[in-house]
Amino acid sequence: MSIATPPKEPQGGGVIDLDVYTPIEEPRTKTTQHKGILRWLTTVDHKMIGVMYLWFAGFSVIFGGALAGLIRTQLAFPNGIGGKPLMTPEYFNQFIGMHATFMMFGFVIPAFAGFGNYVIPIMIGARDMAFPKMNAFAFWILVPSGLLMASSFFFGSIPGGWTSYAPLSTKTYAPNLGVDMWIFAIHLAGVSSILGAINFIVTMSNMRAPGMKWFRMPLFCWATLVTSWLQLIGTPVLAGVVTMLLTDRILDTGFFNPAKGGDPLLYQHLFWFYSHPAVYIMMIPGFGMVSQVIQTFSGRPTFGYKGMVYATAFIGVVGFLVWGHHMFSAGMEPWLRAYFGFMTMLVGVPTGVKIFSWLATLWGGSIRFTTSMMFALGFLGLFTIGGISGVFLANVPFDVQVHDTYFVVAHIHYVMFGGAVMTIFAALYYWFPKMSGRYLSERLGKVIFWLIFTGMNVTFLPMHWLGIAGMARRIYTYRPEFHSLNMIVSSGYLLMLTGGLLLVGNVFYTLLAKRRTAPNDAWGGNEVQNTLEWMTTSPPPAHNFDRVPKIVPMAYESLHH
Amino acid sequence: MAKKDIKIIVGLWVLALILSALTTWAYMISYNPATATHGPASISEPTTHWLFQPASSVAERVRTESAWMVFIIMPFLYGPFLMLFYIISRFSKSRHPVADKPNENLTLEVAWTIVPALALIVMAVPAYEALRYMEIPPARPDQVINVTGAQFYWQYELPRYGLTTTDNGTITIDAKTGRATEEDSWLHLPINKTVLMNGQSFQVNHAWWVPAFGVKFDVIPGRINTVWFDTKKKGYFKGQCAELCGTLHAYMRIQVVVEEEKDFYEWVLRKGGTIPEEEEARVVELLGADYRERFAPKDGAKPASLPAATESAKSPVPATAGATEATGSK
Repeated sequence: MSIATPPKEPQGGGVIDLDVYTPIEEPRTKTTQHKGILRWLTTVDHKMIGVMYLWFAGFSVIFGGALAGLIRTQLAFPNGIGGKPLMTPEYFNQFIGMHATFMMFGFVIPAFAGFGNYVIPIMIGARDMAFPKMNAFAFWILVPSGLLMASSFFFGSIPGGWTSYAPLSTKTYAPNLGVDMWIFAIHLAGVSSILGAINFIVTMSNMRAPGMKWFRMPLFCWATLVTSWLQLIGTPVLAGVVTMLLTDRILDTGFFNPAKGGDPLLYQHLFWFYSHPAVYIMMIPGFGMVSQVIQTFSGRPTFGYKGMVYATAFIGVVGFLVWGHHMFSAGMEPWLRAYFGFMTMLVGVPTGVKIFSWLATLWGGSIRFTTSMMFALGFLGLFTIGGISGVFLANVPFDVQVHDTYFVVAHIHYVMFGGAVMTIFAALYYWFPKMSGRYLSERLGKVIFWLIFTGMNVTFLPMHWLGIAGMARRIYTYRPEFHSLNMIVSSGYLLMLTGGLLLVGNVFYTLLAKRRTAPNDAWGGNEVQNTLEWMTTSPPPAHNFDRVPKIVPMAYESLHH
Repeated sequence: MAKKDIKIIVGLWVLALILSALTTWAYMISYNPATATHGPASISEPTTHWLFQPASSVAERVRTESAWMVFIIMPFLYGPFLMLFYIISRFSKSRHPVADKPNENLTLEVAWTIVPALALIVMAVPAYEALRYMEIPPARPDQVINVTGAQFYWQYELPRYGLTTTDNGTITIDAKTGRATEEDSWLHLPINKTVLMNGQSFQVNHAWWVPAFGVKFDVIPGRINTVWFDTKKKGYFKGQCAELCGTLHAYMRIQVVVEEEKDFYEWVLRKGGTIPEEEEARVVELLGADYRERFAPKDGAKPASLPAATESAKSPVPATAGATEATGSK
């Protein structure tokens, strides 16, 4: 394996000191002993597991996207075609719940876990994750979770949206088996999430290469570290609340039944205690990935590295203190409404720091508009819109007006789609050459970007207005005055669908037909950001590095200390 | 960073402030309370909402307060966008082949932490005043309404008149106009009165929401949530259940008629309500001494009973052709 000799110039000086390294170690993993499918089934290699996470995410996004298509078809023709309804409200309610569940638990979180698994051990100069077998277990427990969730469709799945608020999800109102299956699926996904989080935390705490100090870690590592803590603290609460729901359903414990001394509001509090941090779990790794992409293609290291780290950590901490803003109309103490509103506004401050830091990084850069960079810049714009509507929602009197309307739907899609999904696409184009040795088509990639970017705005921008004008979310049909805007929204979906199908085609074509041409530093210019994944082959060998790298200070690092 | 760059950045942010001021101005002139005095004249008109057609002082308060929020927050939308467009046009590889050296500026970092934080605090002040206004109901409301959310209809009780709106759980929706045709399920309110609403539910969560009144509150089993508003405009106001409550959630619509006091009392009497002693004089003044005979209750106007809390929520699917019939849990 060759490692390019770093230039001696102080600008972008070498990270790796080639003169100091430990001798070759035996690879700890035994990934090559099987061939074919068995190799994938038995692997404990973090890279192969990472790739499998990404395949899982890919299948989920196709499934979730198809459900979105069904939802949008129904809402384009709310009274059916030719007097015949397209679907029953029962199915519609299942589709909205499953769309959300698959997109979040099946797509965004596994996609981040996939990129993290693949890249983070390499970035910190380790040979694998700290617990390779636990890593494999965390992935393989996700597969039955996804299957259970998908097959719950045959048993009525969840009738009450992805939040499954009690009492609508209790036995009285949802006696079908699908809800129990959904609960078990959440349990399994939760176990996967917790094990993955422990693995990331231990890996980054203990397995950094010599010289890789905390504040030399790339920002994606920091992002995943903060996310892992959120998962570790939050997920058990989700597991707890769905278990309470399960015992309510099976054993009639009455936790959420006021007739038995329970309280439906308790469900909402516990649910959002996890599910609000979950929003940051689905956002922060994206911040990290975008930082890497912007550094590479602007030719400048991130402005205010430490500020970025602190902002990420601050978002993580405050993320646990704001869950009540999902319940402003549910009835709570007046001072609590004021408190949750204020804390939510506070989240805007570190988020602003991040956006300003990215802009300052770009300022004075020499920007290459690759597909990956275009997705990253698209993220920057769309996430700003999502962030601003988020501050609007932190304003309690305003929030009460638009709570549970399409304004909120628009907000979460600007944050989750404009934010998380755009970063995933940016990272896919960015790390695909590293993972496969092949470049995704740049020409097609730009077409895909514009289709998805335009489609995303056509779909979600009018939703702001729909919400203000009085269209509630999660409704199967609506008053006629909302019809024209809903047609625009549904047509935007078609643009995104075209982009998505082209992306799937691009991935398969590249994997099957293209040759491995990617050099170590697939995008060039790694002397700027100096992350280790670009200093090994594409794709990397099973043991990542022939020699454990030793990290020396970057030339500009004095700026950070 | 060169001096020229600083000038450009300051210029972009000044432009963002100007754009924000223009947005706020457009927002403020888009509604004039002096000219907009009427709500929708018939139930077929589109839903009105708090932003452009507020119909209560709560909604007006939220609207006014939001203008301030728009002014404070929009620079943080326009600013990054202007910066982004400028960066894309100036710092592309072709126009700026060599990247500037890495730099760091602690003052700048502190500034872009402190300034948004201060802006948010400034924004929060009117927001909290409006919140306080929303949260403190009048000590002696003119009307008290107890609303009950059920699968899948709303039932209103006016305890002062011993009146409960009849609703047999049948939702009839005209597919063309999307309005509920059952006048029995409508709530009537007198104009220029304060209204206190208590919300309850015996089955699942619902949310009572009329956008024009600026009012939305969840009704949750086991608790009574309270909200207040006043009626400032006559008209037909429409709303919608805003918390997913089951299969026919979308059909769980709300119709509120705000009318003259005289018409309101007529409605009360026609519904079989009784006039309390302290309002007797006012009713006689409005409707005449023989109001009991003239406005006798219509046949079948008697209070409906609520379904038991444990009853199953199974309900058939509505056909959507023509007028839609859907039966709730009865």
